[in-house]
Amino acid sequence: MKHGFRYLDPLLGLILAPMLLGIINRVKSWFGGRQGPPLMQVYFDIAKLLRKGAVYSETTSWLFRAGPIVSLAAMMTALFMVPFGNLQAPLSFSGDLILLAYLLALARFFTVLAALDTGSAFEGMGASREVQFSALAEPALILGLAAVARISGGTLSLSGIHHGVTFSLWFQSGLILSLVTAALSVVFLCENSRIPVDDPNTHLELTMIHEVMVLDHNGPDLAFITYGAALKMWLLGALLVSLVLPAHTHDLIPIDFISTLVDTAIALCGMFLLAILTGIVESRMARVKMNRVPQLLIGASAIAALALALAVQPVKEKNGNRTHETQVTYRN
Amino acid sequence: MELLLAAIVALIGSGIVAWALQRWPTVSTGIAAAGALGAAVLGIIPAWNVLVGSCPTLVFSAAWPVPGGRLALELDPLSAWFLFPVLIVPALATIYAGEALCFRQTQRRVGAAVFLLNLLTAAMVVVVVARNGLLFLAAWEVAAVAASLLILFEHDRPAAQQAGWYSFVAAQLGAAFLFGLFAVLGQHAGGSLQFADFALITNLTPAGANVLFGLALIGFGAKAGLIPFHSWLPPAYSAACSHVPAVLSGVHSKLAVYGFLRVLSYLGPPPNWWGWVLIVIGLLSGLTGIVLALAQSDLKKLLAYSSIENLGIIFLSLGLGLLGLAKNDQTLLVLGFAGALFHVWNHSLFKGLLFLATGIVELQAGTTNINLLGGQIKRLPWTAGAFLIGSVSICGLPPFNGFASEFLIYLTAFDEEAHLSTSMAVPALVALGGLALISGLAAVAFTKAFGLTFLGAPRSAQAAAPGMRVGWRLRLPVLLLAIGCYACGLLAPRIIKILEPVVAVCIREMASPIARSVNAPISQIDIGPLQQVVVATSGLILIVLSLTAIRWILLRRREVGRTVTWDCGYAAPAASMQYTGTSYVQPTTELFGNLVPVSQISETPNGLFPTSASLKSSVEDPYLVRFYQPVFKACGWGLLKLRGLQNGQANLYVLYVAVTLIALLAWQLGWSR
Repeated sequence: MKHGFRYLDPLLGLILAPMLLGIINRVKSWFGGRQGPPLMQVYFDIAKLLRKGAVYSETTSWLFRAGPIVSLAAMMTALFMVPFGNLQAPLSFSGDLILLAYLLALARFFTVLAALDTGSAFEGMGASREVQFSALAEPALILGLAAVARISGGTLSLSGIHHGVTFSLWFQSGLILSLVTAALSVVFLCENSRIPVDDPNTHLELTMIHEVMVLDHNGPDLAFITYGAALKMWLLGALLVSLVLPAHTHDLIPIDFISTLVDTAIALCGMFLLAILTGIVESRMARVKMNRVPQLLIGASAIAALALALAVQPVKEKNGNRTHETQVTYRN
Repeated sequence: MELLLAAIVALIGSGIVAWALQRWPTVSTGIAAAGALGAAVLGIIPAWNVLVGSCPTLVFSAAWPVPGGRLALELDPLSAWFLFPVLIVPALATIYAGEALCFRQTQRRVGAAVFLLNLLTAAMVVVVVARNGLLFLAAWEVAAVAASLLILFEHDRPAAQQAGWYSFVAAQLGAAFLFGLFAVLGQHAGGSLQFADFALITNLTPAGANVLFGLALIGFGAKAGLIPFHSWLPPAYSAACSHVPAVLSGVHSKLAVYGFLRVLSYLGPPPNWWGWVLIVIGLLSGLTGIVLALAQSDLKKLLAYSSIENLGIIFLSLGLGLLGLAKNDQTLLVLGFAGALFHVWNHSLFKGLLFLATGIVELQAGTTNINLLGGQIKRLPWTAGAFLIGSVSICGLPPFNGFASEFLIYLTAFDEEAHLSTSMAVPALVALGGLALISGLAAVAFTKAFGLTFLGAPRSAQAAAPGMRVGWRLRLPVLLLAIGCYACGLLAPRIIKILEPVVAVCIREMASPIARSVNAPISQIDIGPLQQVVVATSGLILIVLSLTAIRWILLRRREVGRTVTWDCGYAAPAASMQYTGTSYVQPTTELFGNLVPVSQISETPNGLFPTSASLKSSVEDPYLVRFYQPVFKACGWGLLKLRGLQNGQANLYVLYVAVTLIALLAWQLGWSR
């Protein structure tokens, strides 16, 4: 890709991310027999909130105001490291997937603190659950990504994974990739506070996790939070899509520009499909009992660990083959 | 080297003068602080020269009447690396101590307290530069005794008595292993206790090396508080005034890492399983430490257990480094050791910061019980900001220094997992998952520590009462350490470059005999990823600033109202309705129920018109309750039985002597036949 296009990748996410939430809501409405809000509803919401004033609790301090800002900033920074379609990420280095995981953690850290700053029992409960669940989801994310990184070229980088995962890799080590996909799907649902872990529509006792933490935010702060949530969904969604739909038409279509266009279009379709799937999951499934959520997340971590354990093997075999080949050539 | 000796003299001299002048607390603490600061400046100059400048090592040697060698001091890159935290953190703590001690109305003994603090610092400096076994052990013991006395400073409190006693016993038990270690090393070195002669040991069998490794691990592990040798540590750190645990946790425990690395380099090429052992102990300490940390309701105990966790991470990283040797790949070795050593600096910065900030909260509110605190951000905005930076750093979150070192450790684990054979990769794999879990749990612990202490509404009258004015001597050290946390994150690539010669000292001995003889340069660390991290985190800060500006512009002309927190229409929310620290972590502690035994005493509401109900829960240290207390109780019981022998009658003692002599005679005669 040419340098001019370098920032196209984060730009695409920044523009299109709220659309995902719109699609999910539309799908859920369709299942519920309603017409549902327009696809662009989240954009309208954000625009409306940005035009509003604000009301703050007297208990809160500057940290309550800083929370949404830091969370959104962390998501935006992370967006610069996640490649999409055939668009290269502006930032890519060995270990960027760790930075990604930790930026998500930073955003969560500040969301939780902002929730605790209100001194409300509701938000305390949400914060308590959020930190517990995310502590269990973190190993799944890191181990899963490490497993893919391992089989797709050996660099601990999101761009490396993105370019390393191809359809032929799916034929070679489909088991590992499907395990990781399963683990990351759970992480995707958990981190985006979706059913079966959390219910994005309510903030009441049974589900109190993410929505209840932002109960006291309003005005531009809430706009930041909504936008940040959309970006988070885009980030994790892009990771899943580049695993499941690794379209690299570069070899099929000789013209650089068109292949880029096609790849990106396929990836976009993948993202929208993911949003539709999430909507279906939310419409068809119930939220699991709160004390079962840790089991779900530990299960995801175990699956990711299994994937990584399996991923250790192929390269060893490959090495074995290679030494065998060299021996043969030596004899010849 | 003269500058360093001058620094030691300045520390002890100013301490003695401060003690002599303790009738005037301000003067006394001022002199001690000036001495410690002066020593820091004097000592940093040679350390800087060794680390960054041209001279590789500084040596001082003099004859002394003690057997086993000469009075040998040396400042090589490894010593210089540890000298930085050893000098800087205590100097800041001494400045802080001046005001903190006067706050506490215990002016009578202020002089002794600052003298002991400076003595502890001086002893730690000597430990780091000593090149003679006896000198090392002597300084080690002086530091241990000074630390125990500092913990006992408020000796009228039962908690302090117990803590001081625990720490003294643990230090002596640990030191016993170190005496054994140096005795064996000295035997192999032909009776010499010079470190220079240890380096020449060639007659060490693998079995002998294993024994020495075990002795070092237990002896130094006890000082570092590695699990299962940690039970003395949390009471000790929580009993003393905050500047003491800041030094003990921030610096004193790191001497264990130093000593371990130094001794490791005399044991020859390490077998693979040493790396495994370190990884297992590191992970165990990290995981158990952080789970116990998040369960604590006392802020200082929380920090103490988190100290165990961080030392665990350091040893885990060392283990990963050693594992890299299995493939004879120096890159992994260097990366792992660099991660560990960088974390040594980082932990001393943020843990020092967190303890000092906790001390300010304690001075203001009179308690460190998280369940009684809350809302301190309004009273102590600066302290809150610094504590927040410390919390973010210790969770390993960007853009601060904790992330930089944990990032290196992750890279080591991943590279190992990618490069080693299947069986060797398993520990690295476990380390990856373990680190991720530890960092997630650290976020639970420190959102609790910060969120429930500083945010929300005060949970008790004492936390709400207007506090005393916090002077600059309390505030400045905390702010400087916070700046240090950011600076070490920002300058991480540079610092890693500085680390290369330090790592070279540690590993030259173990790499291979060939490398040892030719002083081969060690493989370089690729700092590219870290530079990119700095770019990304700088971008993060830029985005935060611009979003803040956007928010400010948006809200500038609009109505910004203030009201009560939304509680679903309930009109009078009270502070006692908030989540407490215990309830906040309850789901997590329940999940790790086996690691955290929570004992509950509850009185349930009874009858139609219940009069009272109560719930009291406390978290015990499982190792203390299930292992140490029974064992020591059994020892005590057994020794009590022996007391009957000593009944004060002289004729009975004569009988003992006679019986002993006859027994010895019989044994000797029997032997000679």
